[in-house]
Amino acid sequence: MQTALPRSSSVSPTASRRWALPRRRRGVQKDQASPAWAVLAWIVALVTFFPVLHMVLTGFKHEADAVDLPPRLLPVPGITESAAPAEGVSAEPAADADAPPAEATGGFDIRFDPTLEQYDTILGREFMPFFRNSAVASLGSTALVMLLAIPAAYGLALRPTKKWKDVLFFFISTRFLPASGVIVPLYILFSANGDPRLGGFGLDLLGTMRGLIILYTAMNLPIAIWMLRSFFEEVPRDVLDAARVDGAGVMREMTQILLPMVAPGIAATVFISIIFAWNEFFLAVSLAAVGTSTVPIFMVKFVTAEGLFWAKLAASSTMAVLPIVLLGWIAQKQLVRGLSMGAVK
Amino acid sequence: MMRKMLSVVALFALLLPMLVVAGGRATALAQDATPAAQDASPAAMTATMERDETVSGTIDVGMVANPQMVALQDLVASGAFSEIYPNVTIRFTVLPENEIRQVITQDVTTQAGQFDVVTIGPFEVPLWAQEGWLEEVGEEAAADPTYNLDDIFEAHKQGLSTDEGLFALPFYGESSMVFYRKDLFEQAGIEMPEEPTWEQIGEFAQQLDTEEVSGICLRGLPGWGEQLAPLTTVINAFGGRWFDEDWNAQLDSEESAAAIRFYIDTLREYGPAGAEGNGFTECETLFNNGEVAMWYDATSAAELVTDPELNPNADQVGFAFAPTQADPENHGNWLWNWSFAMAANSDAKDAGLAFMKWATSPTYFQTIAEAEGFGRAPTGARASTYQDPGYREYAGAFADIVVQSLENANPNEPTIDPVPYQGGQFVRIPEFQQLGNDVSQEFAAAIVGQQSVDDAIQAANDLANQVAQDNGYQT
Repeated sequence: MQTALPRSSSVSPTASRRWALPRRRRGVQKDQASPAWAVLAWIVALVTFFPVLHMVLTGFKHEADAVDLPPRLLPVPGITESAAPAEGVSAEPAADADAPPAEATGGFDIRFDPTLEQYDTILGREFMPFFRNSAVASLGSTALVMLLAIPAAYGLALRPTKKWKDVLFFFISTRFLPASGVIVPLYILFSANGDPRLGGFGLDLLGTMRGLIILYTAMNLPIAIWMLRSFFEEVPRDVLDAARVDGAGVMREMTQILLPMVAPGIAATVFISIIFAWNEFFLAVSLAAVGTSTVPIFMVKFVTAEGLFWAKLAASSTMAVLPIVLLGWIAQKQLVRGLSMGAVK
Repeated sequence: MMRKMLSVVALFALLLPMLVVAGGRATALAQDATPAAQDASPAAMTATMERDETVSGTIDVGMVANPQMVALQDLVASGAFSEIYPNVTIRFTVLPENEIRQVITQDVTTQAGQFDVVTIGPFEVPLWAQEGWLEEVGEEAAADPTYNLDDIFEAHKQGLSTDEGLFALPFYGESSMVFYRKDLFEQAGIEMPEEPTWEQIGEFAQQLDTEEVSGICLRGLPGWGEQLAPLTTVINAFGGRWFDEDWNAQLDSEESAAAIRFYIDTLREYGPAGAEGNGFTECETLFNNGEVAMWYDATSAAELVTDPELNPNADQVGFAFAPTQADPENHGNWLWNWSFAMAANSDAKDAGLAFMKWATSPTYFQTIAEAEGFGRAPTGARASTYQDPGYREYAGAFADIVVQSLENANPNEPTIDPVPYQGGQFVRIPEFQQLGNDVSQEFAAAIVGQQSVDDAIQAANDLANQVAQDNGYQT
């Protein structure tokens, strides 16, 4: 979803006929792109978007329709009533005893009767506490990330010390180890009693919002520093020198000169940090499932080994991605600039 | 510009129904949340369970997200539990089986103490009890005359006990049975005996297999709790076993190999396409959609295949006992239950026990049946469930088979030849989760056709031997 948004809007399908063949690199700009590029972009965008569309559609199906093959993709209100007397059943009318049930599978019916019953079920399951936990964890950790990453990126980009490259590498190296590799030590450290063999010291952070915010901050900080550093680096030094000549201190240079210039970059970093924290599942389920469950954990609650759940899962997934989609929509302009240009021009 | 507008319209088209639900239904939901519970709970509960204000505390309960547990959660939310224990607060953590296993295992094994009460099964209970991680609950349950511990099936209690006592109270339980389509059998001119053999099932599968409808669905999905559950009971029925008394792997013995060959060959020839991806849920869907003629699985599926909302052919479903083969007495000995156990380091043991006893009591069964119907009630744990006139009317077609299967299952002596382990559809050693997952991968590869069945059996046998050697079982 995230990749689909900027892609579909950054490549313009309004192509000019003058260019029969795509030009290399410099040529692919605004109204000079060839129709071939536009078609390709649309194909890629649709392919990327299809799973999301399927998810949204599945959320409006009855459970039995959701598992039907071939997939039913066309919402047609009321077809169930006209086709079958039984409510909530999408299959063919109860066939006579001796008719083979081939029609249920052999026929190529892609219609389904849209329903809101899955959303009904989900909203009946107290979605709000999960939503609140996710919002607090994502926004809280992102605020902390930005608070720490902006000065760090400023230092690394504009006033580098000795071995600044090693520092930068160290930051990203904390992301090399998969989370599952550290989960057990982390769990013991987070528990109230710790490991008795190591003195029984524990942070008592299991199932707390503090714990989750700390984890997400640590998770996103390296990426934020790397992203922000590259944005800061492309700010023309002359502008900063001029400000200094005029007597601006570090704070003033940061707040009045630098930050406004890299605003799209900061917006992109904030957005990515929020997305990562919002979608994070493994740490949340391992360390915060009791007490501070987040939206991804709410989603999987509908997965069961006994009974159908695809429609409910799709509906809850749709609910889960909505805030991010809306946020992306609002910040789209900044994001596209931040992500596609990579720096201030 | 046009494109942007189109996108906005598209997004709103997608969002609109949800906004309608969110806004319009919110009020309806508030009223709907507990419609049936309102008229059922207080009266039914207080009939046999007395209000008790002396028990107090807050308990964290970890549960697997099966329909019966979700119904329990709903009922507690509606206030049915606090009617009786007003000073006990329950906080639920409900997750799918894999996730809840991981979370509970982490919590219990590190003694982190996040949970007071958890749902686990007979695979874990004796192992964890031996480690001292669980609290004995049998004594208190036996002392409570309203709880009626004797009503719980003996096989369940055996599976949840060690020499030290009973360490969990079963919420619902299951053995295994065969589900089949009576109409398809009639068309083919064959009749399902009440106690079929696997050989017969194989022949029926062949006769019933057509282009539209596959002969039989068996779980092929890798996983110790998926594919290996039914397969291990087939091995038991054929006279095979996982290990002999000295912990030598026996999967390549004549009987075990015949069982595995039968299972895989039947699936390959008469099973649905993509059998290696079918677990319980997938087989249920195929059966309910009329795409398979037979299905061998847990008895807990009986309620699902006879629900007309799920299965348009619900009235055509027939039931038979889990098949035998080498010994007419050995039906495979499948026995599972989801039980409530209490962490030994819980700081609210009285409240925890009060909840466990309430949720597994005959009274709870009545309450939930009245509130939600029998389909979401926990069954298969208590004999009294099957004497309930309402339930007999609902489940008449399969109740007797289920009850007899549960009474006859003997997971402590699951095989025909003696074995050093316990467990009907699993081998109760801690290493079995990993071993089972690895072995089932080998068999799945044979189902797909990536390797021959004999190679898979050999590889599985080597894996089992390796585990027995590495962990000190073989001397």
